[in-house]
Amino acid sequence: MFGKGLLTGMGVTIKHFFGKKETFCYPEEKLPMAEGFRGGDLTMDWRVCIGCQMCAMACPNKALDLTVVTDAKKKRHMKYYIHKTGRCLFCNLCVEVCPVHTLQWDKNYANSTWNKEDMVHDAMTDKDRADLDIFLSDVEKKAKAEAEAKAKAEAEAKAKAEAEAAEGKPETPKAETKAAPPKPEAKAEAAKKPAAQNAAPDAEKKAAAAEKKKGGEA
Amino acid sequence: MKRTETYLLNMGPQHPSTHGVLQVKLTLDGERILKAEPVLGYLHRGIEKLMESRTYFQCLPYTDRLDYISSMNNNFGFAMAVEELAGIEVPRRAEFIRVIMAELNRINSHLIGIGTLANDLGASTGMLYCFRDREYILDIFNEVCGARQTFHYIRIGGVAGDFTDKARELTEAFLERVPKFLSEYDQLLTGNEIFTRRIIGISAMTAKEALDLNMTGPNLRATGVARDLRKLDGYSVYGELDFDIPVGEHGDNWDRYQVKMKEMAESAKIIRQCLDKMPEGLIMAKVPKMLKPPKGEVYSRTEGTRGELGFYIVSDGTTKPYRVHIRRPSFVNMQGLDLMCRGMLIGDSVSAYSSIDPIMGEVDC
Amino acid sequence: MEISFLSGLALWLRGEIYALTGLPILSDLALDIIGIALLLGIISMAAIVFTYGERKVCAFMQVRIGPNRVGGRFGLLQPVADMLKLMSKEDIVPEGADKVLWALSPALLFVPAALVYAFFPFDAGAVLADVNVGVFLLFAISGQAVLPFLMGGYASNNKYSMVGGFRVVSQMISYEAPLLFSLLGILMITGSMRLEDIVEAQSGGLWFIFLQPLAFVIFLISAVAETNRTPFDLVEGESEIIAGPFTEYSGMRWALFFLAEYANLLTAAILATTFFLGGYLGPDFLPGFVWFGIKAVLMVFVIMWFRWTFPRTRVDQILTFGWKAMLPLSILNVFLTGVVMCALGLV
Repeated sequence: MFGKGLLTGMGVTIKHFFGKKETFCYPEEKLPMAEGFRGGDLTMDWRVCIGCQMCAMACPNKALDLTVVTDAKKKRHMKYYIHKTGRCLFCNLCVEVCPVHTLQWDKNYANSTWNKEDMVHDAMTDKDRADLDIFLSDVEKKAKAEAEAKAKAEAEAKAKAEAEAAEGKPETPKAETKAAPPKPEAKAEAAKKPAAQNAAPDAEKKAAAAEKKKGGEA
Repeated sequence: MKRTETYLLNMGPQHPSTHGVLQVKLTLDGERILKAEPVLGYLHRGIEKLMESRTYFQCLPYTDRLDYISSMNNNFGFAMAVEELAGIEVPRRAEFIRVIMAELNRINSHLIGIGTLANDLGASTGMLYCFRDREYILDIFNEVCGARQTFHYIRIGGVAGDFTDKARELTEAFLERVPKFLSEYDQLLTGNEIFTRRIIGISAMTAKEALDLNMTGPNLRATGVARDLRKLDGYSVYGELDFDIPVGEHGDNWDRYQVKMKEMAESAKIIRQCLDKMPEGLIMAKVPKMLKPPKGEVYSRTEGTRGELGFYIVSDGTTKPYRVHIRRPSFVNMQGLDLMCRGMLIGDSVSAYSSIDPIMGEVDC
Repeated sequence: MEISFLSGLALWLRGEIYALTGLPILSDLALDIIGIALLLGIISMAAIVFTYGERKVCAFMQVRIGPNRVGGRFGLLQPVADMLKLMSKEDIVPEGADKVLWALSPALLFVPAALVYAFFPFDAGAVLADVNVGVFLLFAISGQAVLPFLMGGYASNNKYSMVGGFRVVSQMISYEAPLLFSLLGILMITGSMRLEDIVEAQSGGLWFIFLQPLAFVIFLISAVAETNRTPFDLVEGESEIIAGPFTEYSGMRWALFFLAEYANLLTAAILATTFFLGGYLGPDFLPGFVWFGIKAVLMVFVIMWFRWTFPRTRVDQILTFGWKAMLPLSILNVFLTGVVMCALGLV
């Protein structure tokens, strides 16, 4: 009895002394992260984001500090997406609630900081904000142009209607279809800026990519 | 004139072996302990109060932080309480996944309990082996829910993600490891004369004392009372599963250690059965986005890793609970510390802490 | 006397210095100084190598890699980094400490730990102080190590330190007795207290570990207890009393404790080598001091192996074990040795 248990214990340790090691050199080798790994900072694409702020509402700990701007077309866009990692519970509720699935974890879990104040992360970079500003001004111009075109079209339609009324053959629906095609407006837009023709997110993205490319080339 | 004096020794809150921030005031006569007085509250975050201002869904991540070693069991307990309150039926597949996760987490937690016991007795190698094997469980958790510590996986109405094939593969590989590492601990620790002498007959407790102090979980079962809510209530699908409740005899540290070791083997058995019986199907019930349970109250208890984990929730019919009270097993078990330490030596006090196995997040809540 | 590599080198050096200066005293003095410097070098080198070794052994047994940052893949410069860290640390004197005793304790602990090295025969003839009562003197000096621990524990004005100090006194005194009694059998067989004689008595492969296996076990256990290492590391008992007498020490003062601990570890290993494993004796293809080194390092490894396998005993168990098991067994060993020697007509 006495001594046998000690010797078997020593056998176990010496076996592991020569055996394979379970750990690895961490910063050089990293564990593969699971697909749904929750950790690191939040990332999002402002071009996809619809600014609904559901994520901030789902957050149990008020870790998200969002600033939303509304463009000329009454669409909301994210300006500052501040993720306070110090408050975050990493519960995934914000990611799950996102209706357009643009909110994601960047999985970079090694995000320690020297002090508490640095434990914030803005998912919107300065570059993003610059792009957003350009986009917003574009939208504004577009909206103005649209408004002008609309006014013009309306005026034209009015004039036509008046003329038709003068002729005595009212064909209002036809006139409207004639007036509605945004041909002049589109031309004007194209002249001003080839990008940002459409409000659809995919096209926007493309345009932004093109812009970025231009910037890079310049 | 010869004269001896008792003195007061503060163990903790900053001490290598007090499991987080537990402070124990030991009144000592030389090396012998006359009185052990735990001082709590260093990790108090007011979780019960915080929950009152969160919706039921938002409460769940907070339960992760109660007993941060066994988050799955806490999720499970809270989700069950809310489901009972709101009358939500959980899909069968989700129930099986929940049981698998809860049992995996029980193994995880017992591994830490045994590892820290070994470490507190000076065998740090034993602890490292336990942590090595725990990693395999964390890999499974990482696979199913994307987190290694605060899982937030078991949700109200089901579970957050499906039990994928990869997770099943990992679980089966882990189940194969269980007997291997248990026998290794037997070789390294259980059979070790120094280890057995350190824990046999130390901090013994009778069944009556344990019941008087309202202790639950492995600490109670070590005294010979086979009280396990999994068997007693048969909640979730536990009623359909075949498993034993290991009990001890003398209620000493050795029995507590043995009960934990045997419970790990039993948990592995439960997981195996669940893997075999798990049906296909939904993993999440239809839960309204704005969950408003009817007015009323509920006390729902589950067998957590450290004993009876109860959630008492009062609903006032809004989206937020009116009051949540959590019966934290670690907190209640802490009552036994004084009894377990009295008359023992300083060296035994640390093994008493480790065998109660308190998690300070749960004690202070 | 047989001339080995080391003693030959010493003789040659002495001759050269004598030829240069013409003063025999000067050559003796120079040689002594060189010897002392070498021993101190051995001790500090041992501490450096053993800290690295201990961390690697510990890591390997715990299925870890161990130090791997400083100095290449194997972390070879880790001890240097540790040393630099210790030297650059702030020296904190606790409030209410007995400053004189507090400062003296680490220094006093190091002195006996280093002093005993003078008696070790590293090779045939290579011993700094060749005294005929070597064993006696050695244990007389190493027995002094109890006091500095108690001083440090008392002077720190800390309850953990005080408890540690009390523990060290009871433990080290209890194990001094079986340690000496376990060696008594060997002294009876060799009939000499000169360490080199004891080594020479083991020539021909008849090491005392084979003649006195019980004594070896008792010696090993007692030596581990004397050096305060697991399973008898109650003095430092990390999970109980934090670091015992060292709790309040930091920086270089703590490093001195550390140095003494490793010096004691090597002392235990060297004693086991000398008394039981045939010292510097070994096949001729390697010089004697290499054999000596190999055996000593092997013993150090065994003691480290104990440390990373076993839990810690408790204070009452360690004393019970010492007085009720180790001491009677060692006396029994002495008795048996005497009976066998009588029977063989060696007396």
